[in-house]
Amino acid sequence: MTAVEEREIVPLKPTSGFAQVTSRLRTWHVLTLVAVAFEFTTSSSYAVYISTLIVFYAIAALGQGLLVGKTGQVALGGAAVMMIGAEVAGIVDATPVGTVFLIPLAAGVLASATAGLVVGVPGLRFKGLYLILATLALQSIASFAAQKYETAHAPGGVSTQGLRLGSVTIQADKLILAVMCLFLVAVLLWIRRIYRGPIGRMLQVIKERDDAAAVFGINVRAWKLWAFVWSSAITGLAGGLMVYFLRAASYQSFDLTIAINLLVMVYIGGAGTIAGPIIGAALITYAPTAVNWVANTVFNAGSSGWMSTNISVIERLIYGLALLLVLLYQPAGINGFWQNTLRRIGALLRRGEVA
Amino acid sequence: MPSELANILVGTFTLGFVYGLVGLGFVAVFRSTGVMSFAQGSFMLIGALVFYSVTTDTWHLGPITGMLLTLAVLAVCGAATYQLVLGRILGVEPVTVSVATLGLSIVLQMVAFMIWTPNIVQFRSMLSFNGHELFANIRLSQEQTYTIVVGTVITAALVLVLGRTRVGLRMKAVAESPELAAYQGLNVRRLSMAAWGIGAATAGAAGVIFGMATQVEPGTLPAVGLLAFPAILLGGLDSIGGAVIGGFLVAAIQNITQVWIGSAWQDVICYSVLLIVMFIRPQGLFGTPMVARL
Repeated sequence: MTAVEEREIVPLKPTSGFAQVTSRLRTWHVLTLVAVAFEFTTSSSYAVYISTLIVFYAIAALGQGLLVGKTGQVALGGAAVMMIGAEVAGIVDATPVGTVFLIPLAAGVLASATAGLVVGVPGLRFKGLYLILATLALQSIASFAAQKYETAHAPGGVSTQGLRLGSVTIQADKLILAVMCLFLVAVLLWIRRIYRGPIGRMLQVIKERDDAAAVFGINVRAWKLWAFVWSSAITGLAGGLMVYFLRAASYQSFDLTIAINLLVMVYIGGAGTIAGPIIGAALITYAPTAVNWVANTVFNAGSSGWMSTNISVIERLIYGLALLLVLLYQPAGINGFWQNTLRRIGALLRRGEVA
Repeated sequence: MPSELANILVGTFTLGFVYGLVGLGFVAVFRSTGVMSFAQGSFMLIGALVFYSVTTDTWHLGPITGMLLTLAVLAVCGAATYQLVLGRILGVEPVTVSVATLGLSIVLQMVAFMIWTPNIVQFRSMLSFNGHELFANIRLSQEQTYTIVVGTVITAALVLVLGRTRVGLRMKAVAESPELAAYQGLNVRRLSMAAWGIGAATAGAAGVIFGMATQVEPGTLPAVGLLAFPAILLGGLDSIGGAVIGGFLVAAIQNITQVWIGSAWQDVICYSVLLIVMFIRPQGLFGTPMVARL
């Protein structure tokens, strides 16, 4: 698949060395550096905790973004594959091979990918909304199986003994965060490779015009299935990592709300981009804290009155509104909005220079 | 007739109308806009709560007038939702709007929480007649009789309006191709608005019926609407009669599972049936086979 050539954008003016460096430096590179610097200097354990959560959700959302953003196929299976990743990792962790945490993690990822394959085959028989229905079924079946397993063998949920590497266990919060960040970077690099390579361009064609893609000889269904299986594997990885961070997981914490959350992250951040799901994950994970802060400081909610009793309702309301409005009015998400703004500012500046 | 079978039959009838009506509203929206509405469950909740307000909480209306008023209020809600939110931007892909209805569903549920609080409510008993004795040991309670009468009337009306009238045909034309329908001089906006009105009203009626059978729990009731999905897929996504029959089939599966296997297995067996149907007959029992196999 090299039919689609990438068009080189030729700059109008010769650029200086400094301009070359800054043009390669994207906004989110800077933001990431600032965030990382903050995390590793902060003394607040809450900040580290929230950041670790953001890293999981970023991985999970990147996985969902591969499917939703690149093939245009919507699914509601995020929570189910996270659950499968977490449960299987937890189960394998208790066996003798669990002494190196990478093995249970890999088992969880494999199980999630398999679940994606099993559900993707019927779900992708037709285009459109069938995959949503198939993944709803997966959600129900997976949580039922997990519930049966937990009541029989692991009351209260599966658990792990932390990030074990043989006889060493990674204990410090910031070190755990660093390990999770390594996984995020690995996923990020892999996804970037896919997005910028021939497969990414092919998926883009499938998203824009699947009939045209079929005419080109692309096996649309097979590639959608490929994207779905990979997205399930990556989202499952997030689930596996989660059970290592929290040291325990139960099927109850992976309900349909989580699946919808992941979709919201992808769409609010910007579907089809790399930075989008990460921005979305950070925003949605941090949102409850932010809403609480605004309610308490700006509206002076306190511990009684309408505002304080309805705070969770308001939170969900904002969240629902955000999903609704972003999808209808800003389908490119925050990332798209930001890129557009940057482009407009750039255009204005260039016009100024010419004049 | 053994009493187990009697229970299954009666339970199937009540629950079947709930899924059937939610599914009918869903099909009305899907057929005319191509959008798969995830907001049906929330419209169910609002319907049940409006009915609670006008019959139990404030005006003490009767069950028939209460139902009529609920239908009217929900029709306005659905039409307004389309007019104010979903229909404001044309040219958004139906798949995108379908995902947006997930957000809509949350918004509607939260608005209901704010207006009515998330507390469980129960309708006052307002049916004065006694139940009917059908056979030797099958007894229909008042609520079940009401459910069957109301469900049959609304279903029949919708099947006639959507399947047999010009308006129903036009709605279908709009879904196939909004552009072509507009060239034909059809008012796409108004037809889509009507479809959303019908969809919300039938979901509201389903909410009332469900609330009548048990109680209204605002936190969990919208999830009941999700079970209408296996029902409509079983019946065929675009088939009006199929939605009702699918609803009954799912209700039957649930009731049979509950009686003979255990209520924990209810949902999982329903969804397994859904997956199996997708494998062997993806267009459902009565749906149109789709041409695009992409």
